[in-house]
Amino acid sequence: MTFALPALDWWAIAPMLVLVLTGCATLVAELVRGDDAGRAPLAWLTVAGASVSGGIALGQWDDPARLAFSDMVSSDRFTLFFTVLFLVVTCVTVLFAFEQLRREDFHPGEFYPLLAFSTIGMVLMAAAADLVITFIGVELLSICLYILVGFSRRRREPEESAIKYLLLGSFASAFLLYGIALVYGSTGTTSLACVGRALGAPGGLVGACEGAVATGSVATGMLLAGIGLLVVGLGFKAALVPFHSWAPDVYEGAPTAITAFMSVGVKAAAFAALLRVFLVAFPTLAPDWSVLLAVVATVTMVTGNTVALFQRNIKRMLGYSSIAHAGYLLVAIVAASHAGAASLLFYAVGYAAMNLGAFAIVVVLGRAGEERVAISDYAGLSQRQPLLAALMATFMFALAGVPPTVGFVGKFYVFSAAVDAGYVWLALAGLASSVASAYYYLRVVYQMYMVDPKEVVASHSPHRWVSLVATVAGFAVIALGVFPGGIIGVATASTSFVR
Amino acid sequence: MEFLIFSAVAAIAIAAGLLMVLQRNAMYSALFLVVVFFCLAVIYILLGAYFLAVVQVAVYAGAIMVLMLFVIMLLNVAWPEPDDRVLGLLRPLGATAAVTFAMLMAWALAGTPGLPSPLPGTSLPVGAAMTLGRVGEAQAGHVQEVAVTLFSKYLLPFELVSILLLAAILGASVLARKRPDHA
Amino acid sequence: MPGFPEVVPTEAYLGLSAVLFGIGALGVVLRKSALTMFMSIELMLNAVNLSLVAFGRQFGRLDGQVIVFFVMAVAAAEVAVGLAIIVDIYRSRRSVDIDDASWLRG
Repeated sequence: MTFALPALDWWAIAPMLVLVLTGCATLVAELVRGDDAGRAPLAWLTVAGASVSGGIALGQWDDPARLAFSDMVSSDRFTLFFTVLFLVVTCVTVLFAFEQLRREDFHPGEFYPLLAFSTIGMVLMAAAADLVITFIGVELLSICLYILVGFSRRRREPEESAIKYLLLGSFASAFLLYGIALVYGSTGTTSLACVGRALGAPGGLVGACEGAVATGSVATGMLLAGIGLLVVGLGFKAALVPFHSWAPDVYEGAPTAITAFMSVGVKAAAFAALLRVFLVAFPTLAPDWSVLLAVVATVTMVTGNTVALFQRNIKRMLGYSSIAHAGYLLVAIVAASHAGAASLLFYAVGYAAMNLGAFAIVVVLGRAGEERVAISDYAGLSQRQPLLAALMATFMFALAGVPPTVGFVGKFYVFSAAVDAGYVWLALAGLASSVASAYYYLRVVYQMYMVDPKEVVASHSPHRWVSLVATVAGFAVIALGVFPGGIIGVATASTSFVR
Repeated sequence: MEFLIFSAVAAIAIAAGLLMVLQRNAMYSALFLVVVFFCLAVIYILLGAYFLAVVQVAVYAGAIMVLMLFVIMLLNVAWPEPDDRVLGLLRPLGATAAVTFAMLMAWALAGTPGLPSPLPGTSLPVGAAMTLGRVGEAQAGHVQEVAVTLFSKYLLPFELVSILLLAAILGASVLARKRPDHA
Repeated sequence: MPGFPEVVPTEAYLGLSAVLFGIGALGVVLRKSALTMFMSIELMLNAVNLSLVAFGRQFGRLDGQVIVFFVMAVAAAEVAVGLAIIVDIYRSRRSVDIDDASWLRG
């Protein structure tokens, strides 16, 4: 038995390496500078690290797609696309948290490293070329989040959210793992591309595939059970109905910065993993799983939008709204086509812009010890802060899917991909539920513009950075809605592995 | 002989598992779980995974369960759970779900027309001397071969797990810190 | 030994694994105590480990066993974080109502 070190293609995982270094650097920096040294340096260190990592990812755009580290991760445009998206989300979260750390007495020395490590988990989920990496990515992300959700040392609700999230999350992980085991048992390999080849998918980036068995394109019961369990495990992270019960409570209890991070970043990561797994490993079984996912998508859209109608707390409302959006994103996977995959990437970017923007407004309006998250708190906002109100209205219109915002264009691409794949009923269901969703989004707009303020609220500190995020997101929502071509082109180039 | 050992250990594992789940006292549950862990270690030996069997005892029965017992004792509650108030309705529901699941799994396993075995052409890179399905002459559990696989093919996941453990340490230290106001 | 297969077939291990997984899932659904739910999840993970090792033997490869090591590391991390949260909750509400099951119930 000889030992041969595998080829170490460090450059392929360079963005992740930079994040590891960033996390460790913030840890050490806090030790060196001491507790009271202030929070700003650590925040900027994290943002700088994320920027370097993102810069490297952009620089790798023209590198040839390849598998690295014994076919464990793929370094291709899909990975890079999501890496950049995740890093943007992380930087925005740092800016949000910067305000909250001051108000809620967070301990920054652990907050930033954990945020960096959870970003690595997300990148891994998108980059995974092997189910083992998918599992470890999911777990790295989840374990960091269990802690971040319960991070506030002032209030008590977060720890209830944390234990609930942890118990249900570990429960779902067990299902995910069982799914991986059954797929391994059916095909003899955990490598996504090798599973695909064993099931008769045409080539692509395939590694060595030692030990894989050719099963043909007929799925055994065991394989189907494995696929079902994978849907449960990943569906939990994406908050698909019926695996969503944790989401509203956790979103409400967690610090707003983390809620934003989860509702955008974690969701995008879960869908990146779903897309990788289903369109690389199981494309030949699409007739078997697409109906199942279509039903889940419908239930998710309808449930999310219906329950959101009854929410009075804006974080809960955005929580249910994000469940509904998970349904839209799943429609793109059901299509199981190149166009569908590209529309998923586009929608993920658009959703990130609109949702981060909306959460930025929520953060700006919050104050110490009191987050001001009732929807009635937004009454008369247009009189007090017209710019914020206009931005919030933009985000609400975008989330409802009103043209000319990115929300409309994104839904258009997603639903037309579904129609092309023959799922007309699914597109109609999505359309109907998104029309219904307009009611609760526009209720916020109504409160801001048509209702008089209940009380005179003292003006707060300016929140420069968060306001900047909101403004940039507002521009992005409109710009991407009017000129979607650029991102669509990039998204199409990033999903060329889908046939 | 092998079959007899398997049957006995499997029966003990299932019984201990059921007792663990049905037990109201967290302390007893933990002890029954330890029994299951030991049973699994024996089964790993049957499967030829000797090193794994040792690790199973050391990590699960040793480290993880000691941590659990430590917490149970630290909190000084043998926590006899309160009588079920909400669960009157949930219990049949949960049981139905579990039975459905078991039936689904049975269907899935029965639907497998003989488990796949490696293609004749594909080489067995590790344990080339290993005969399929035979325990004893197999080297599958040999520490050296496990290590070679772990540090060659699975090098990246191995390194990633270290980040995961670092995150867990960080988390435990954050959560253990005293709260500023109430505490 | 007449009547018994000489070698235990992989299916038997898989069956045991499925049963243990089901018992663990039952525990998560039925129990109210966070600690017992936690232990039930550990049981589920162990059941999957058994499947992985059995499949690994079936294929004559070590991948199954190596994945189990990762699962163990992950389980240890989950337990550490989970117990820290439980202790934290207990500490902050010892004086409050411990029987208030809202936090015990997932």
